[in-house]
Amino acid sequence: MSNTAMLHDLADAPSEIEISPVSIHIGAEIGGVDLTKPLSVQAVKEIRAALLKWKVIFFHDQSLDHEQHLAFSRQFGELTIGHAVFGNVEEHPEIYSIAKHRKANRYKTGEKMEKPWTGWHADITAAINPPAASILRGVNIPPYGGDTQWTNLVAAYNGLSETLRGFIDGLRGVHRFEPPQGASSSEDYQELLRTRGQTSEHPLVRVHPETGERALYVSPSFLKSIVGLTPRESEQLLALLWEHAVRQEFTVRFRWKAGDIAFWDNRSTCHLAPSDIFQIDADRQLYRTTLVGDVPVGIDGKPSNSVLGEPILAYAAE
Amino acid sequence: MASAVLNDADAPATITVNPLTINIGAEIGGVDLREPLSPQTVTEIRAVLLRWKVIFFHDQFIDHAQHLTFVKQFGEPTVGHAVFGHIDGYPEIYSVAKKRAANQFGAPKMVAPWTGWHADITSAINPPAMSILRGVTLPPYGGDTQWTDLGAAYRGLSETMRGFVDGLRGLHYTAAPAVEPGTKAYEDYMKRRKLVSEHPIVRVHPETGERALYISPSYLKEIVGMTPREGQQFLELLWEHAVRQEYTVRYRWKAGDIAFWDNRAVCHHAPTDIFDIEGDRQLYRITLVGDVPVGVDGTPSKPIEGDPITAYAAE
Repeated sequence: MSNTAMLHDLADAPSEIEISPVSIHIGAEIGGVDLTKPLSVQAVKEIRAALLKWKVIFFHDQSLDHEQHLAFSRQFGELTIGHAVFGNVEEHPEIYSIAKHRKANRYKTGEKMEKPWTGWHADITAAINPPAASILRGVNIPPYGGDTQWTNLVAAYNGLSETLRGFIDGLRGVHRFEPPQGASSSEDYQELLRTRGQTSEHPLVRVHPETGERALYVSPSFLKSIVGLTPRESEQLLALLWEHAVRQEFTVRFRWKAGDIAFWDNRSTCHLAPSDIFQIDADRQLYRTTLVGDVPVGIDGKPSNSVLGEPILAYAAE
Repeated sequence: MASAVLNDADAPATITVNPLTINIGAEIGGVDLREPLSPQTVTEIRAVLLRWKVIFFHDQFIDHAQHLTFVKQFGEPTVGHAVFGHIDGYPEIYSVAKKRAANQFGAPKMVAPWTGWHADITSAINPPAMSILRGVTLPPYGGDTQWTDLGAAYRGLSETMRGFVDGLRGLHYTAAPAVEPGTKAYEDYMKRRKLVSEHPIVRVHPETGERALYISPSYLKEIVGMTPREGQQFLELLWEHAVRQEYTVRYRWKAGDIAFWDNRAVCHHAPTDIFDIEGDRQLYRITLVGDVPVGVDGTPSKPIEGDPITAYAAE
């Protein structure tokens, strides 16, 4: 009876993959699969179940090329265009380049206001249907530095008092693209937002479409205000929720190696891209695919509403 | 004429009323507090107090006995201070001196925008209804007192936030600053009469029915049903809001001044600048027995520790 076995369900233990949890609430390493090849139906099912339970799963020593990355991803859903705002790599419209110096990072005039939750986000929650999952593949990784972190928003929701949960269960928030507080955006960043800007109103508590779990849906980089509160009330309540959502106990921190893949449920996590890499010279290159997501639904069954922009559809459908 | 515009329709006949801000504070003229007041004048002063939350009288050089006679026309006086006692010979009068036991903390305080703001003795199950403070020895400048209108503060919250706080309750008690234990004198006082009460965060005023954000910062320590960190951050949101400048009045004292406030509808802030100067400052306070607060849902406050503050004569 190993520790790992004790910590996850014994009843429906996977038969084709190995699962090694890396923290109490979030993150598991998956072994026993070769992602360069098509997966069995059972393996797909087990990986999906592990993803839903552990929120982010990691695969090691999987040196996939772009085509293999796409083929792997497609077994779990339809792929969106690389990035709805910031584009894609040439020849591969469904792949987004996570390079050290990418457009999304070009708001370098002015200094960001750094708070404990600064930089944390779920992918593109400004959209009416943010991606369901993201699959990030490490290609060029510095020897140390550049760790990514994820937080479990279901655990965060459950960690709030019943009193506060009762209040936020009925609230909704406005998510949109905007440079971080304190920074002003460059010309091309502004131009992108003018042509591809997105704003959506989502419930603060999202009911997960597959598990029914409630998640504290508070993507800090995108969520700007709470509907129905004054600006200062909203700012202070969001600070409370954000500080809570990124508490260490809800998070996992992943140290990348080339050939690693991180696959997260974008409906129940936020993540933090590393900022320490800008203090060293080394390059860092990863590639991301994202799966088409649903329109979020709150506890009252009410879906999100779109304020600006189009849904993020499957690439082929565009 | 400006003040008349801001006044209620039933203008008082026997006193003059001069509002000082939009929400709170009015100067009262036309009365001599050394003499018994007519029933009509008492009615009018009470109405103006309920409307303006704190009222000020000037050039009323009254002694302890006259102070007592004046306030007894509005209610029953409590013992001077339920925790910190009273002056010799006058069990219903509390000395607000510059260096009093309530100020004897050892270490420096953490000062936030709401630090020092409070309503009187909200750690009690029935905090005083009203406080009547008389200025005797005052520095030529410095030592202003401020009051904030908790009814206006409540109305200034968003409807969403009001809907939430309407159902909350808070725990009020006193504690010396956590950084270091108080002096022995302070701790002795605390042991003598420890008070802890659970009050609604939104109090319905027993006379006007007005809702007030009942969040006495110096006494309110926890929101019932929240984690400690949630409670702290949420209280800071409410406290910061409650002491916003637009809800407050700032009063510069002269000898012979009297400030009379509705302790159910305001918080006030004692001056700290006086500790930066040599001059003495002496005021005397009497408080009137108060009701047990009631929330929006009709639930009264709950006593956790300590006895009600009753009329002095009844003790």
